[in-house]
Amino acid sequence: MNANLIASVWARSNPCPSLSITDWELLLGQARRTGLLARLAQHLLDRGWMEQVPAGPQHYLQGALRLVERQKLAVRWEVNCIRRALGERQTPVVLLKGAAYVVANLPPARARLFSDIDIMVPREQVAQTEAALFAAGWISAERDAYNQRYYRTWMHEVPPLKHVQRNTVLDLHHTISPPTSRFKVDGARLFDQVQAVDSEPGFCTLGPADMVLHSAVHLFQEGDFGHGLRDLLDLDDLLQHFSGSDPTFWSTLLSRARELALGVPLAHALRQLERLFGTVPPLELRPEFSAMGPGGLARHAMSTLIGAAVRPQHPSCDAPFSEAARWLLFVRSHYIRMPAYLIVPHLLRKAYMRQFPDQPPTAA
Amino acid sequence: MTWRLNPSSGLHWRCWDDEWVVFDQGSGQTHLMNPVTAAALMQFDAQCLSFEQLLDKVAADMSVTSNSELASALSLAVEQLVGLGLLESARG
Amino acid sequence: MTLSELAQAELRTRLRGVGLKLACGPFNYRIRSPIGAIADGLRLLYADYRIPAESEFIDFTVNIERSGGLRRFWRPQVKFAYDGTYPFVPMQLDHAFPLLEWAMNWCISSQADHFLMLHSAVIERNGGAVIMPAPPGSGKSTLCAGLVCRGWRLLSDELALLSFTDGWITPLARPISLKNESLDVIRKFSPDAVLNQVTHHTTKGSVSHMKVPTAHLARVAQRARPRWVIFPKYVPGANARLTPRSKAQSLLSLGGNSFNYGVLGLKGFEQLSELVSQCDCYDFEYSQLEQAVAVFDALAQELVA
Repeated sequence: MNANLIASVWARSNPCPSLSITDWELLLGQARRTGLLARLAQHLLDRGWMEQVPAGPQHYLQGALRLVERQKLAVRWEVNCIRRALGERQTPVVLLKGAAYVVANLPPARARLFSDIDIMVPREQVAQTEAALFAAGWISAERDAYNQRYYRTWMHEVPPLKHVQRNTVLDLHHTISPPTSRFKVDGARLFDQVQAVDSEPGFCTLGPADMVLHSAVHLFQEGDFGHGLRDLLDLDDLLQHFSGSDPTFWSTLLSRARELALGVPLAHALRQLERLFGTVPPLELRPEFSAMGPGGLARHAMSTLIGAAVRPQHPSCDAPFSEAARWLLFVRSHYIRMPAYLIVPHLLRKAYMRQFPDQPPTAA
Repeated sequence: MTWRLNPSSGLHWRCWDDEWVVFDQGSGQTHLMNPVTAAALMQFDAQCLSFEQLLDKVAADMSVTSNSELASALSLAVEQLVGLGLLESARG
Repeated sequence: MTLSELAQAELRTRLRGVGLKLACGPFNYRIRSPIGAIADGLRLLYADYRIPAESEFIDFTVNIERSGGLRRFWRPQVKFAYDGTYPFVPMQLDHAFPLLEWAMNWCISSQADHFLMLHSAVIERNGGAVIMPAPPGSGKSTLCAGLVCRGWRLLSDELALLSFTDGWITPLARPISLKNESLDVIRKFSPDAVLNQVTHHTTKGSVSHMKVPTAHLARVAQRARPRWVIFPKYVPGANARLTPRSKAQSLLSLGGNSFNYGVLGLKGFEQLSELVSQCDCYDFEYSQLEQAVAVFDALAQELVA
């Protein structure tokens, strides 16, 4: 059975789902696989449909919501600990992604679980920030020297830091995209638009347009397409939220995308949002948004690939094509992040280390 | 130097046979505390306290006169509580 | 309808096809597997378990599959598939049945947050339940199996499910897992005990599962009120002895032995506080099962007096 039940939940005109008990089982399975169980629960709660859900599925939906609530507390505590570690600073620390959604009370925080906290500081402060974090108990989770080099030299990250006592993971960035990538962004430009967070003095989030662009770039550059649908839903949430409170938001987004040369990932993302949820820019801006993406065949091919990859990886709706599509995109994703001559040795190395975690390779 | 409760903490106490357990909603952590540490933490509500003020209050709570043993036990307790993130130093 | 009423051929057909449905306490499973040992183990140990009706919700669908590719023939392996992912590493083919049991435990412990879940055994007599938390190697399972063979009702050997409304425990009553020396101990202690064939060389050593007495399954819907929290420890040569344990320490140990205390926040803390307030908490040392049973029986007697 190929029913993509989970994607249909968010189609704009969807009425209250009236599902058989077996359908509920499938839907929950697909939701778990795509990391959307909590969001599904929130969706039902928002529309007053939760009471109509049979008792069995309801247990697990409510459980997912409890986890999200718990996580919000955990995030605020981590941010608290980060503040104590970094002390008083001249420039604020920027929270990214999940942590930003939580502290700024943005819609994606209501129903999203994530594992790491991402922060961004100016490039010239990375070393000193890492030192301060180290002193407070965050040590590099990455033991392998090659991977250390991979992260530091090629990616935009210090390798993930793990706290010795709490085992929480922190990613320290100075921009939102790797310097070797086709879509590199100079972190300094992002700092121009950051916004303070009232509830967390000393911390900021990216400006609204930058947050949307970060989400779009992340979707196409990171290797993990298993959660593509979830990331698109978050992106849609952000767009609805920002455009709802600011009528000029779409045109701000357009100019910022041009300014940071992130038109291509944005165009791809918008195409998916239109296809899945019917979300479109205002009529008068549509031609300009369209013009940002690659034309004709390239656009169609990419769209099909992404569409197939975004299908939930659940046995009930995995078309045979999906696995191949996912792999192609993973390779492409790495291709976007690192030039081709760098990519092949890296992929083999990671595969080797997965197979033989305790044996370092003998040859260079 | 004064201290105060970490503003994001939310303390819930239980006691059985002179052993104190506290759950902190802010950090989600559960701590088993000896009487001195528990007594120290319990003194902080909305207020900031200096070490001397803390010592006096704890001594009163425990119905003892403040002495050097209590003072050093309390000093250790404060250090522990700061390390746990439950107390932080306040300006002034 | 119970599993024993299914013809052998029908059992295998379901396992290989649409799946075999099985009710275990508050949870319904759908099990799929082409492997013979799974069918045999289920037939032996789960004969008296109810098969849920068509209209009932299935909480967990567990697939125990053979690994493909080279591993289909050379050192064949099995793996546990859940919602399209593989939560565990693959195992040798002859570990299939223990893998099923571990998978069924995992499904509950990773998702059933509508209970406070403790990693402990729970048994009941005369209306009072004993919760026995214990890290591996404490002899908890042997003790649990021994007591069950002497008239204590099994609620669970691994997972205590505490209700948030009243703190009572909901039975799971799944087969008791035993390993290594406990297998011989239990065989001698209770020659009538029904044990599945032993799987050797697992990460936990030699393992098997003991069938739950039918009478206990008949009462699987009867919840029990916890009266004692007892931390067992097998100590060679020791006399069976209960020593009172601090409630505060017990709370912390219970929290550390819980699957979801960490994510339940204040609610979990309040629930565990209530539990240690209501229960007598003990450490328990033993080496002889007969002695241990006598001590526990004496506790249960207090409830009748």
